[in-house]
Amino acid sequence: MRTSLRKKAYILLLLPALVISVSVVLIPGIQTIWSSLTDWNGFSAEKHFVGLANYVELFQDRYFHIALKNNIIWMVLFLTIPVVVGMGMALLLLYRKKGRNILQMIFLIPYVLAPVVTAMIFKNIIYNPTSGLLHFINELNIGLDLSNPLTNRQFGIIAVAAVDMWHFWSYLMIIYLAALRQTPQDQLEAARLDGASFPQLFFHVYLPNIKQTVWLLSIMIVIFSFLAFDYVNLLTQGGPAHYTEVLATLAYTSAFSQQDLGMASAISVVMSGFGLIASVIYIRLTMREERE
Amino acid sequence: MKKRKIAYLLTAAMLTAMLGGCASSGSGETSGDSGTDDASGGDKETISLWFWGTSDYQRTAMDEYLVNGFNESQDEYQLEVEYRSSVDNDIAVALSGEGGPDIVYGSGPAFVSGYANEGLFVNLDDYAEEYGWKDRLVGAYYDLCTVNGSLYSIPGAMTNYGLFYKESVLEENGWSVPETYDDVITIMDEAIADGMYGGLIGAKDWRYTNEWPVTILMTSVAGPDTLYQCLTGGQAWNSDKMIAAVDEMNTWYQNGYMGGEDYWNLDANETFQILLEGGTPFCYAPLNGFQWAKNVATDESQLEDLKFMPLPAKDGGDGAVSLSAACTFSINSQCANPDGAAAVLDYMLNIDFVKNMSAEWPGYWGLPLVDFADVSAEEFEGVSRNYIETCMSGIEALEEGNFSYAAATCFPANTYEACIDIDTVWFGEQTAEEYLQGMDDAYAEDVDNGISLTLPEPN
Repeated sequence: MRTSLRKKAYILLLLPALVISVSVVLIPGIQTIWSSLTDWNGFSAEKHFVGLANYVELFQDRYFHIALKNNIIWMVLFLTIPVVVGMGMALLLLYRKKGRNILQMIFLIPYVLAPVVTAMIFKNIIYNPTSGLLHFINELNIGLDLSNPLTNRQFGIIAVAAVDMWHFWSYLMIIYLAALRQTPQDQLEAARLDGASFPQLFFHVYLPNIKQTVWLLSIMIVIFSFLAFDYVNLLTQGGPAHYTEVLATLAYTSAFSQQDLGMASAISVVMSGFGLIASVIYIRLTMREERE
Repeated sequence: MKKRKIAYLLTAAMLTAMLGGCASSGSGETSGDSGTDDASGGDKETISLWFWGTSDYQRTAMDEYLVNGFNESQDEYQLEVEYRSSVDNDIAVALSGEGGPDIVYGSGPAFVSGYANEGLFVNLDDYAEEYGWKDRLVGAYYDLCTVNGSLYSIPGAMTNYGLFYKESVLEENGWSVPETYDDVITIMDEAIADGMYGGLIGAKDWRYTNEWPVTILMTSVAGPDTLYQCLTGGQAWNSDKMIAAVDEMNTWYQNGYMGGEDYWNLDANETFQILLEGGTPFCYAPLNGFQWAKNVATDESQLEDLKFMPLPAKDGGDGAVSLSAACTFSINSQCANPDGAAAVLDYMLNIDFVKNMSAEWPGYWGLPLVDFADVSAEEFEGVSRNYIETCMSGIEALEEGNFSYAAATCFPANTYEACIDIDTVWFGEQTAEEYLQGMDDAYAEDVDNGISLTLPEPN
């Protein structure tokens, strides 16, 4: 009797989350997959089934390949630079008791700035060779003739990603710091008594203890990398010449400029596919660890 | 027990907050009195319109001459304008959910046709008949706003594309107002040699600014007839004349006639600031340039000699004005009071409204009305006078059939998107032929989707 009541209570408690998940995740998700198999324009009452035509067209589109490559570059950059900087700063703060909270707050400022503000700062003050920092450097006449990196074929996407990394790294730092502070003191003291150097402490004591956190954040970075949109749209809208195109801007253009929701849905499904792969990898790794 | 009570209270508070969140709607600021039982609105029926986020002086003009002007002109309807910075996307999303405002602000006739075909906009033929709109609008614009022969929108301001110049800047540098295409090129070359910008276009904030040089140079080099043939399926885009036009655009970009690399580093306001300060002889832009100049002028006197002209034809002769509307206004098929919405549209199609708005906000409200013929530019001062004169000469050119087609207004969706890729030619990613083949492919896709835009033919 008591077990039955408990089960009902569990179901009752799960119900709100379940209803929300089904209504705002599952149903729109299924609708998106269905739309990707149609020629829906976004407002017509009719949707014609076109099979995999949108996917075939998408994989033949050269701008899709540029966008995919840019998303992969984005992911690689985010899995390295902000992770290394965030971890490094977290370690420095870990050993700096005095002023740690103030420094954390200062470092967090870029993270709490609205993306539009951050984009404006970089577009008009940092990257702009007619009035910004680059202009100032060029005016020094030290042999540098810097142009706007956002319009550069090779570095355009890196310049956009740099803005997002500037905004994002402190978030990683805060999470890493919180995780590092949970490292058991007895393990640290034992390692120190054994004469462990700082790199040995990090790789053999700290890192194993925060491995789960690092993994989770890395998986989240992979997922977010394929959803990147804000800064690209604010800084370049995917241009010039599609140099900074990413999957999300491609989907946005299909949906709102070309009124092709079928194609936009197909792009969204591809984007979600990468997130799904990352999630599966994470779950499998977690399960393996639990088994061990 | 006490804990349980607190839990109930917290749950109730959370639910209230959630429901409260559901009740809030919209993301913009509103002008006009809301609701039918509002104190100042009385028993009036509300008519809603979503508009883009304007600057202060623009909003003041909107409130005074559109919102208050309409609301005081009759006692049945109350116009309410909501200013949204993301109006284009908001409207697209709302319409797909069979919602949205009563009066739909659109980006142009090409935007209207798809929605009209799906029955999302009210057929305005009866209202046009009742109010006599066909006689009040310039014929080319009336035709442009029809879909399959029926009217589904009214046009916003004419936004001819061409070059802006300041007579004083030309004079100071020993140049006269250009009369031919070659004059323009000569002045730009000399300006560059003098360390000035040859000409300017600012695409920093909006990659779709690429449609300006596309419109201006396709008109000047390929000509209105060629564009008409391309847009009506009479000939392929990938033709000799169009290749010449795209090659010319590339020459312009490489020679710095559009600001060189600063094409991407400046926005429209900044380019006009440089023009006003004498840093360039020309800015290339649609007629909205008057409002950008007003935005950045530090002194009204800076604007007194700001003039506009279409780019002369490359093979000689005057330039053609571009058939282009800053926006369109349609009536949502979900509108509960289409008669009231039509009354608002009728109010806008009034020369007094156009004059009042243009006096305060030059560059955005020159609706293509036949009554412009009776307007005296002497009634206006400063930049508004120049704007009104430009509108009047534009109307004359339209009546004579000397017009071409602006990309944003007349190109169907996929063709328009393909034309924006002109920067791939500038950056050496595509040849002119490949770019135009892309436009042919996009146009074929638009034809498959069913183009129903009515394009008037130039003389």
